[in-house]
Amino acid sequence: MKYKYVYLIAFIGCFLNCTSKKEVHRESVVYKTVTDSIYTRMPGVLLKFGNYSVWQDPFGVDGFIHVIDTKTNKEIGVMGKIGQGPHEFNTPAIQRGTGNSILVFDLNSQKQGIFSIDSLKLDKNYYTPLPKSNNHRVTRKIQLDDNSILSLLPGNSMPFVLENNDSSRKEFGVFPINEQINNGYNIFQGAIGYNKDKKLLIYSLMNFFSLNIYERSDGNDFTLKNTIMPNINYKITKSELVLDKNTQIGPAEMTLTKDYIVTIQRDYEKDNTEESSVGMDFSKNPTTIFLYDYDGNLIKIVDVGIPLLRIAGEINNNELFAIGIDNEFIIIAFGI
Amino acid sequence: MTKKTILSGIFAIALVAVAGMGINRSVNNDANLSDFALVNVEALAQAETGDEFTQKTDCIACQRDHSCLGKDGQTYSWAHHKNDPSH
Repeated sequence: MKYKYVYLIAFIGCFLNCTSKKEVHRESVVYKTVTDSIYTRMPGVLLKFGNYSVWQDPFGVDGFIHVIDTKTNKEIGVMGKIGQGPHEFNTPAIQRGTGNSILVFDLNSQKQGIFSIDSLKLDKNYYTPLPKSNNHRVTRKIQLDDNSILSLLPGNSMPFVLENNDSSRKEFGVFPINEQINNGYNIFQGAIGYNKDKKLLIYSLMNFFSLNIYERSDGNDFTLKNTIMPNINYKITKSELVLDKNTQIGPAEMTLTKDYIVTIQRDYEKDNTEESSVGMDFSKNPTTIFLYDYDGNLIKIVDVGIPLLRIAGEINNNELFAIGIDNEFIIIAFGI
Repeated sequence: MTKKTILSGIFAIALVAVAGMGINRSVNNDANLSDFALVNVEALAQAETGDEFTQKTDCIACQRDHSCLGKDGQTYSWAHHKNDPSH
């Protein structure tokens, strides 16, 4: 009986320990340099297709898609031109297509098409136009499968539009902040990725941290499975959402691997760089990536040891490419 | 003047002429691009010092894959709106 208080204190201690926030595992990784021949003012999107690394040159008038064979560390070719010709784009935005292909759409026209890495390797015609699509206010597009393309429209009432080859169209999804606002296009921009093996659509916002996981059922139905987001303070002024000035910025980059949702994020416990001081000074970029499981749990923080600008993975393995800054832009490779 | 010297001179002149043709073609091709496409490329080149670009569009170049709806009706990539609260 006299030990009941001891048992009670021990029980409370165990309960608090079990329910308290688990410490996140931190580790470092050693990377391999694939190439330092990235000649551009600023690299755009980075993609990974097996041993091929694809990087976008936003300044590349005569070729904005570069393909590198990471086995030989040699560039095998350049695709895509800026312009108004039938196979050219004024303001190209690139993302993953299916297989070894790149989906490109024009931010200011209805043009979209597929660039094939396999055809480039064989020195064949690598461009296939797609049916025109209303790209106005679309910020991201990904190809879910050979029959459907998903678009992100952060200024719409629902974030996603799914378009199919049979011309059917479906809007779905919810924004993580449920308010009627006029500046959703600015507030809700982010990255999207699809893991076709797990049938999960991931939407990661850039202006504040919010990881949204949708599950695809058979067909074209998506259900919001989980939203991971801290409490966000904001106010609505003249129908515009204004975030609290202390709101932590969301990750600029997100990619998917076999086991993880990977983002480039600053580890503020180790690095207290003011985000407002970064601007275009790439040397101040975070050196860390955050690894979440597909339930949205933060599993570990990996320090790559170099300021990071872009990250790219694919869902059949846990290997990553990244663009880092080491006096110049370099493409690196490492496993997680 | 030896034959070798004359041939070297002709080769040098030819080399300069070809280089000049390449530059001329590039300039003309650039001139054929829409002003809009060049604005986006130039905006990225000027980064944060693109005051004229910002005055015309209300957009500011950034390193994030962000899009900006310019007040001129065009959408610019790798740029955010000057009133974007997160920047």
